[in-house]
Amino acid sequence: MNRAPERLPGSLNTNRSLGRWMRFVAAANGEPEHVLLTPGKVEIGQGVTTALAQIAADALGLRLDQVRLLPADTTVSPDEGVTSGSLSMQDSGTAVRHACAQAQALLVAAAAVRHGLAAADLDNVDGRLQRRADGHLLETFWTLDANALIAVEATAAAESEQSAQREAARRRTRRYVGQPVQRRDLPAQFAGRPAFIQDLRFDGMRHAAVLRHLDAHNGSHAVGPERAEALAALVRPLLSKGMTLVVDGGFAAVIADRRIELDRLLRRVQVLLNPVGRTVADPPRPQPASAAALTGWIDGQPGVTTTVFEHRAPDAGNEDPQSPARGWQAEFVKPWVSHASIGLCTALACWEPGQRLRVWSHCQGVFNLRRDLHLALGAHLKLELSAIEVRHVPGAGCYGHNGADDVAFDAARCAIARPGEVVRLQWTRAQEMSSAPFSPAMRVRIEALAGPDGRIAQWRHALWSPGHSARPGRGDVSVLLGATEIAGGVPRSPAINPPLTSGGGADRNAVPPYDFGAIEVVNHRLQSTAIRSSAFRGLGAIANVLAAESMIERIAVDLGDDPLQFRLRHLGRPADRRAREVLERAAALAGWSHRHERCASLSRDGEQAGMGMAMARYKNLGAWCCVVAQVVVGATVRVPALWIAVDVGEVINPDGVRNQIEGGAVQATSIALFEQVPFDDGGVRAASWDDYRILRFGEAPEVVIDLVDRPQSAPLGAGEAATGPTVAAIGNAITAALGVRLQQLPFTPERLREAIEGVT
Amino acid sequence: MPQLRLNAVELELELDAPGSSYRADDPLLGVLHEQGLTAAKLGCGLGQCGACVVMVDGRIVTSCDLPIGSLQGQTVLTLEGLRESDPPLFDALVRAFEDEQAAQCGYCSAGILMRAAHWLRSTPIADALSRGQVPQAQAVDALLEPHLCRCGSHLRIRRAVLRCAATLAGRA
Repeated sequence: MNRAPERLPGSLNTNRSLGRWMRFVAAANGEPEHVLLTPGKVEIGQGVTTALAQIAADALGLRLDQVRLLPADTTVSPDEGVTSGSLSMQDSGTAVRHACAQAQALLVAAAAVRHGLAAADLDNVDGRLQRRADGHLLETFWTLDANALIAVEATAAAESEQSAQREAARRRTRRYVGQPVQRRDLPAQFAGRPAFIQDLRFDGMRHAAVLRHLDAHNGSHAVGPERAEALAALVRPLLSKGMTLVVDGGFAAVIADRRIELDRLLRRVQVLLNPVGRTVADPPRPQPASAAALTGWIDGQPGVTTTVFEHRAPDAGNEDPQSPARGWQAEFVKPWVSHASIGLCTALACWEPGQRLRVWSHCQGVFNLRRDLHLALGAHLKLELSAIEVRHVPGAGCYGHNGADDVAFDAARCAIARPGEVVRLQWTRAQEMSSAPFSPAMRVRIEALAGPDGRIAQWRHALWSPGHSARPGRGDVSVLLGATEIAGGVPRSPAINPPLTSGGGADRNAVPPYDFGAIEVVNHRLQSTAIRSSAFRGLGAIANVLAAESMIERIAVDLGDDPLQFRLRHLGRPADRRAREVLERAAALAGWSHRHERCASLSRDGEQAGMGMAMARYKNLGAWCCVVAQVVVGATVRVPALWIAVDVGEVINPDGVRNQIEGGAVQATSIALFEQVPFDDGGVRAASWDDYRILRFGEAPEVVIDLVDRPQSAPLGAGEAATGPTVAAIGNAITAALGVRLQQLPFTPERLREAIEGVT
Repeated sequence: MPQLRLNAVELELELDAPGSSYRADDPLLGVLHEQGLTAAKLGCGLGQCGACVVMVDGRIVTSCDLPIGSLQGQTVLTLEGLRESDPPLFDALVRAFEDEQAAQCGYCSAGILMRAAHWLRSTPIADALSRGQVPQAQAVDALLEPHLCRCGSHLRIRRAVLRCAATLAGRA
């Protein structure tokens, strides 16, 4: 009799074989016996591999050093989609925990049967299965035929004979979970040993560079063969022995035997290009000419308008026109923001004709990348999907959909020109700054009405933004940059927004968490593909939380209320308990009630201090986070301190969570104060760190964190929780210091002057 | 026939001859990578981010934009070389960075460790440490100003350098 499959935790639900998640490895070649965990999530500098190892060790009843991790690999790992959205603990952590607990139960049961005992008569001590009565060693995980025993589908609940063992396992469950275990990948990095894809070398490896105009954003799908040919014409006379020039439609690249030869060529090509890499013949294309013209550009774009959320209070139709509500409205603008990783996008590829295409990538989703590589190259190469193999190798810090997928295509396309050879392709800093997708610009308008009771009765949040997701693996055509450039390439697809029910995109956190009378959220999705836009840490939450939390604080102050109490008054529902707690904890941590005294001591001639707060529950589904910011404003804005309370449910690794929150908050400070992609009439004008300012040492705020641990609650991701609230809290603190509100990011000296002089 | 000493190895780099391996304007970082040394990272190629920092004759340099033609007879020290040539300092630094978990992605770490190593054994700091004095946090911020970190690990990195200084000062 067929039954609908039971719902299993996280990604286990769609990857149900236990054997897909782990492998028991016998001692060999000096390596001790261990379990090789094979999750589909990837390390992007967030410590996920350490957290998953903690979970696995506890659920298997093993020591941490007995658990190793294989980086995600399409030939081995379960398809866990993309490592994004602060979902690794929800998707992978819960799956690994369940799969490992079930594997332990199966192995204990098998050992019990073999020795004529009940499972409850056995103890598991670090994989050594002992008779409980006398401690006699019966089996280990590795003397059993473990890999055959776990080659079964997971089940939702343990069989009854396994439950006693599961209970025993649960008692020991938190040997590592909840502990500040040190990251296992960092020692190699600190010691300078090869750790990154940028360090990966193979004997006989070739080196390639893509010759891409540095205004690739402008190209839309119009990067024609003539432009690639123009670049090729520049390069052809410079080619030396052993170099291969690859030209395919609008795609051009060079392959050399040595990186050092390639660098010489690139240095000479750069001399032939103007400083931002455009040839003189390139026509200017319509673009947002400057950050100041951003709103004009946004207004000029065609869009699709959708009401994404609507809520009317039961009594909303009975407003008394005689006791007029007090109204506010304001607009907030966020510019294009760059990923700006310190490392350069890099990929390796090897084409074995008729056999397979192998790719090494620091992408966020090996299966997603494989799908778009197949869409772009599969027919040409006559390859089945499974003949494309993508292996993850960690890269430099990843904060969203950067150029990692695009560079993998570039490397693969080059590898086709040199069959049987491993080709390594690395972007230049200028390409990193100009070709990768950006976090899209946004405009948000908020209109609010407060009733005579001093509560917000109506709230309307309208936003204008391109879509926030153009990730591979999700559409009918490849979205990889090179796939839009090669002969017969596909048009560039506009970025889309994930549905609000899974966190949304441009509208992420546009629905306020507060109990307002009536709420309407309207999303105007701009359809322009002129500038590549995709997911960056927080997605729409940066602009939406800035706008909403700025407006809340403004209304509170205008009504003579305290911003903390005003928020709490709109969080009276039982479901708001965790939101209230982070607000109260952050306020206590920051000394909110005596903030004026705290700030007075920092204010001096020409400088004024202020404190502001902001709170959000990331995606309205994830972690709760409240940030109190302190700023000192003179000619520039300094942020001396941030106080943060965060609730991520069950904490797998407290130092890992603190590191993510701290890093997210410092990066958000950089976004708040400095970051904007520069444009001129020709398009993107960012070629180096001179063109894209990020926060430096000495500008990082002190970050004090109060971590709420809820061992009984589901674990939630921490990576993006602090981003929106930090930006908004800094904005509110500036207003507290100056009395004027900055409504366009970043909060530069120029914006300060404009605000003080009343220029909008 | 310019020679340089790379960590413990004497290298002879033939420059600018027809068919030769190297040219005077090749950046040092390219040589390091061809020699199998991966600690110094390419981040920008313009000397702007600090990921490629190494020491040359005791000076701190960005190797991504330093032409090898200028290095005749000089000694290049990378993080790999520091590990061999000054184990106490190397170990103290790596231990401090591990204790503070002073990274997220770790891509900027090697350059920062080299800068910190250079600073900690520079005369004024080494003298202060020998007297048991630990530098101020602001001095570390000023030291690391040429380095970019995108993950927001600045506070932990600063703590790690201070922790290492405290260890060397016998104050840990």
